[in-house]
Amino acid sequence: MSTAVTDYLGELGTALRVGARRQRRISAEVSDHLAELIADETARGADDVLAAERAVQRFGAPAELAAEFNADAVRYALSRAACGLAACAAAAFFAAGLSLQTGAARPWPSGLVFSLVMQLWVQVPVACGAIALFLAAVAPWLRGTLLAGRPAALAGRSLALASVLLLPVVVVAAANLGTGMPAAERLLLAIVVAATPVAAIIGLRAAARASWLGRSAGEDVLDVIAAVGGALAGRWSLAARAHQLAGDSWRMARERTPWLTRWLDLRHHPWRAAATVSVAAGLLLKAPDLLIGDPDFLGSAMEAAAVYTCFAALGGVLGLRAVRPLEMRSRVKIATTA
Amino acid sequence: MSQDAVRGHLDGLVLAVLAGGPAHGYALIELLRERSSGFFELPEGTVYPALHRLEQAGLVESGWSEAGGRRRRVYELTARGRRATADRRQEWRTFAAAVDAIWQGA
Repeated sequence: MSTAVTDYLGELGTALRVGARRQRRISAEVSDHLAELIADETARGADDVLAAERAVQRFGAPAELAAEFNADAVRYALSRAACGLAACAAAAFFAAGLSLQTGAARPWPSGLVFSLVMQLWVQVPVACGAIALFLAAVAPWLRGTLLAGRPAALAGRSLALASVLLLPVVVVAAANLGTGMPAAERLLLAIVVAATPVAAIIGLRAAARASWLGRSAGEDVLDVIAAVGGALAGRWSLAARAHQLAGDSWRMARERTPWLTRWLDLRHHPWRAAATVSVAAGLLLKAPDLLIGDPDFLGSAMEAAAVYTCFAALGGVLGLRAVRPLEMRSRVKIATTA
Repeated sequence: MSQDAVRGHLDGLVLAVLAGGPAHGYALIELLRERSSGFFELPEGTVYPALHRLEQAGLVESGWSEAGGRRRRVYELTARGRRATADRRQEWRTFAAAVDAIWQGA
């Protein structure tokens, strides 16, 4: 193998951060392709040294190639970790719900702490995991685009938060494995205890590397939601009708009740909108109790508090900040100048 | 058209070339150049991240093969890949027709 090719493969190998197995495969493929290029250049009349130099030139800069492989590895890790963490958080929530409903065992350290951690606290990592899952896996798949820029940074932050916030849940779940809970609940808790640390380590590692996917500029979560809505509308006629209906309803509401749409405008008044949506979500989550004539006002208040806590904890992290009048003026000025 | 703009469509272009039959990286870039009459003059390594990405998405599959004493990794479309290629072809035709209609009025 010529010096130019050896140097090229060495530089590529140093820059790659994709795991040993994939690295071996990439090196083998690149080496084979370079051999084809050298044969091609030799057939055109170049000597061995010149042919090897031309081949590596035709193949492209190793740093750029490695950066692209590394970015794809981060995207894959973010997406997998988001799936894992969201599933773990949901399993913990489900297991706690089951065990509290059956009331078969006395949870550790007490029913109240168990309920607070496994039913209320866990909703924050569930929300973080769901946001990361949406940004890192669902939105890129539906939009047919690659995760990059600000959505990648937001997915990384949500994932890191979910990983850290699941720690108390894992501790409580582990301590309750031996409290005589029914087998189904214990199985779910065991899955949470075993899988969460693995998913959290992968998640934290991927979150630390999310900056490899570009600078933190561009879309925020609301922009991604809007783009996904558009992508869904382009795929299915039912989604297109729902998209049209939602757009028309919002436009009509803005014309008829401008005070209400201003109140609910998440981009400009996030805290006000979040408080309203939290109360609505609290009522909606307890709607079955209301329908059977057994209103659970405490439960509704807890759900509303949980939704609002999620927003308070994550609003800033997810880029859902209020646009200040000064910032608005600058944006208008920039747009006018442009 | 800039190289960055071409890169944005690379996954679709790779699928389109593989729709004609299995190919290894070197042959794939040759076909890409040939079928675009030399328009897509990309660094040859560019296709590998795209191929690995498509493989991870389950749209292509690959395996080593040996011919004439030379080892090559050959890629081919999966059933899902064939469906995705047909969808992308349709999307591209709709998009291109819309853009073309606008340019014709300019």
